[in-house]
Amino acid sequence: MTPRGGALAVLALAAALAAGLLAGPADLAPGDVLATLTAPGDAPPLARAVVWDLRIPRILVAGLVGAALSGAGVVTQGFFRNPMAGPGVLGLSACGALAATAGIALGGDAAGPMATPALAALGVATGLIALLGFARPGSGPATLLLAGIALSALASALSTLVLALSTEQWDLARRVLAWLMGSFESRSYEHVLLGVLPVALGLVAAAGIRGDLDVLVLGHEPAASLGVHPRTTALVTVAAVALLVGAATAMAGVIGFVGLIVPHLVRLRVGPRHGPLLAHAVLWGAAAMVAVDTIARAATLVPLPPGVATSLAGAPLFLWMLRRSARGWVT
Amino acid sequence: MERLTRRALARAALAAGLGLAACGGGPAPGTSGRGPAAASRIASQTLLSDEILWDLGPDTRARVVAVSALADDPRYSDRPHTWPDTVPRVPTGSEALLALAPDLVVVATFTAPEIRERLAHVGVAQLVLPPLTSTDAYRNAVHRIAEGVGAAAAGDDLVAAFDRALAEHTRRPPPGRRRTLVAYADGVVAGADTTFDEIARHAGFDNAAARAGVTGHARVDPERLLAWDPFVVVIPCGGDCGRAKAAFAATPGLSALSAVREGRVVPIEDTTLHATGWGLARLAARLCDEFDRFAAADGEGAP
Amino acid sequence: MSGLVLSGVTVAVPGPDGPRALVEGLSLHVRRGTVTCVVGPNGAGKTTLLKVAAGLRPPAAGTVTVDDTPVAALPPRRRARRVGVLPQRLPLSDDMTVRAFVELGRHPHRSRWTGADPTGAAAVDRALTEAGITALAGARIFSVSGGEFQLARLAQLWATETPYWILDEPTTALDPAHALRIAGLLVRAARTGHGLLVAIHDLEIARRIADRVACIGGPDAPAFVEGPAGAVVAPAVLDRVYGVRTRLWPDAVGFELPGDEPPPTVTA
Repeated sequence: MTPRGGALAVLALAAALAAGLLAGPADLAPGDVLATLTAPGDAPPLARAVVWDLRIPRILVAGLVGAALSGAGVVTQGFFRNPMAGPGVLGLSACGALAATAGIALGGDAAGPMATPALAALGVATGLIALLGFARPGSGPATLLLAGIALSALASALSTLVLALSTEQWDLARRVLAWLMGSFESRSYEHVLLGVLPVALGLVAAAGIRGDLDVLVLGHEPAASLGVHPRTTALVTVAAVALLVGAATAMAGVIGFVGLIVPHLVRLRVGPRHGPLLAHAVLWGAAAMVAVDTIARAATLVPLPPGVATSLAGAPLFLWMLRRSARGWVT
Repeated sequence: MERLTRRALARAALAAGLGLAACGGGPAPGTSGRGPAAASRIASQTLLSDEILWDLGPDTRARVVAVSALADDPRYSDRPHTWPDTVPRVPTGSEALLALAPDLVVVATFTAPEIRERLAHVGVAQLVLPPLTSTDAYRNAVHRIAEGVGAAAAGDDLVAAFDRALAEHTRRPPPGRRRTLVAYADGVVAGADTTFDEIARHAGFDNAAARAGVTGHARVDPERLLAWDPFVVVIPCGGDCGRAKAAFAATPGLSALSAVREGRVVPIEDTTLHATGWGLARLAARLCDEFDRFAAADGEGAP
Repeated sequence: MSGLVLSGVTVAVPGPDGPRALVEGLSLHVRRGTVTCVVGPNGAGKTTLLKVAAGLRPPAAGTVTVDDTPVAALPPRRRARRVGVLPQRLPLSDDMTVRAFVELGRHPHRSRWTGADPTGAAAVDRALTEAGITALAGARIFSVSGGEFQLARLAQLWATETPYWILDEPTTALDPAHALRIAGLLVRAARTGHGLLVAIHDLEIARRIADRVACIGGPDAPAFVEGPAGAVVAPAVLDRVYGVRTRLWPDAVGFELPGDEPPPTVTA
């Protein structure tokens, strides 16, 4: 990481976190927020609730989710040797959504607040293993992309089937939808605690294979001749992506495009080495997620689901990247 | 091809209808006041029309050949198992509905347009209920259904009874002394132009969501709820009022609301809270109880 | 026995009636300071044999040892510090500078967690110098010519600082000048103490750089011929293996197709 680039990323994250703390639908003056932060005991209970119970957990969850998805994107793009790969494009989020939808339909969410999150993580891991089975790591980007599309379509169809089989349950559709749109609402320190460990583990795992991902640019077999253990790398990739996407999906539901766009844009800036790439993507991803959520919350009276906001911003960006990508990545 | 099939189906349905009507023996005696065009086979496809048709009395009830599929679902129906089991519960726009050969179907503006188009295509008269966002919408629905089934007098009686019930539960606090209240269900509040808003004002409360500019049922950020800090928060029970109350108090941030801290979270059964018909009078009564409780507490606490 | 040693190695590929042996019982001894070439027609199994020699796939029978250690017993990173590989094709998926590309060869020496590689920079400098592409270090790898790319790949191999090199068709698809330059670099690598195992189609280059040659494939497969370069790159062997008539000049190998049709002459 170049010191200046790193400092910029840290500054961006700090600015996003500050904006997330200061802005919100409750008209709290910045001075009040600061006073509540420094002396919570003396603050009026409502201001304390807004700052300490709503805004701080919210920006922490948003930051963790952004960092996790971007980190997962770096690993996915590196392992599949494709700058357009991402947890969403590969159908992994759809798999998480399927597992969660099925769980909610079968009444699994009544088992505890963390049942749906756990199922989502399991779905993501299963989806990734299926993808590795269909599109072997060495196969071309087109195979990978098509396998991802097929997986995504299959998972979505099964999710719809689950919903169709339970149309008489109106509130089921509502709960599933709320989950599919992604949300940082009503997130507590419990969610932060739930997410922090898997995200940290996932990022450590990703950092551990950063050198192997660098070498994978040469192709999977040439990388093997340079000492990259194919199965171990694949397993660590599965574990890291499942931990990161699973934790993110568990904390906030389905958030699209962050894992694809952020690593891709960061790659344009810092180059293909996965060490700096991972560090920058994690910082920028956290900053972007907090910023998107803060803007969505401050700009509209009706809370815009963050998953919708990221897709609204991400899908056009993705098309733009497709257009400007000089090398045909679908061969 | 599809048109042909549909026509054939329509003819079959009409023929079946005629045959059944003939078997039924036409209008029963002693139903004076019903016009010559009065429907003899009425199908209800909304919960509200299920309720109104029942309330219009035995003469109307006897002509109902179908009620909505949700009629017995305790989560949505205000009066499950009111209708005898001999009246079938049929899903909206289903083949089963056509097979019953109704001559009048009560639907609503929220009924899927293709279903209404199909009904029109086979020549079944439709009575379309407008959006149910006020007590006037209920009164209007009663009048229209009553006229449509040729029981206008029974409709007038029903509306008069409803107005009496509602009038019993009115509170008029002194100007400027209205308590604020918000109905909050999983992040969604009831704003202006909702039945809840009207009944809340009727019962002497001030709907903080409507005052803040929220219209209809809308999702709001919990921060805004904290900023309003309403005197009373009404929540739906979802089957277990104690659990609903605990879950609300455990929602991050909301424990700071004065309504939570001072015990003014009011859980109300879903069917009452979301009533669109006679249940509105019950909702008014329920909110008036709360009004009286807080007024009494005020009286005791006053120096 | 020091060196890269193949003992009684059998290489097989899946066939319709079970595994089909391409080479059976091949023994090779690649000493440091020598070049061993593997020649043979397309499909003879050269690439598969090289992967077996590099420890990237197990042999159907026989053993491969590096300086007396079975290659299969070495953990991947330790193996990669002993045996360097230049694969036939390199499906590079992202652009970077030539120097960054050469640095990838340092992977087996770099610490997993800290990324530390104290001697890395010097090794990369030396590799760039040996390959003669120091001036290209800052160029983008996607923008260099095919010949320069092959030199960069060779520099990457040099940067691995491995004693044994396995190269698959290092001169294929290069113009004569670049092919000869690569051949010269391979000879220089051998002189500086590397042991090279090279699969090659260009028999003239094989004859020039190899100490020993193994010729595999042809009608007698899975039998093979192995011996000093001069004994194997000879009409007696090549005519039978390739099914052509071979003519040797002091600095060229020529072939003619047998038969009555006007013979097209290929000079390599």
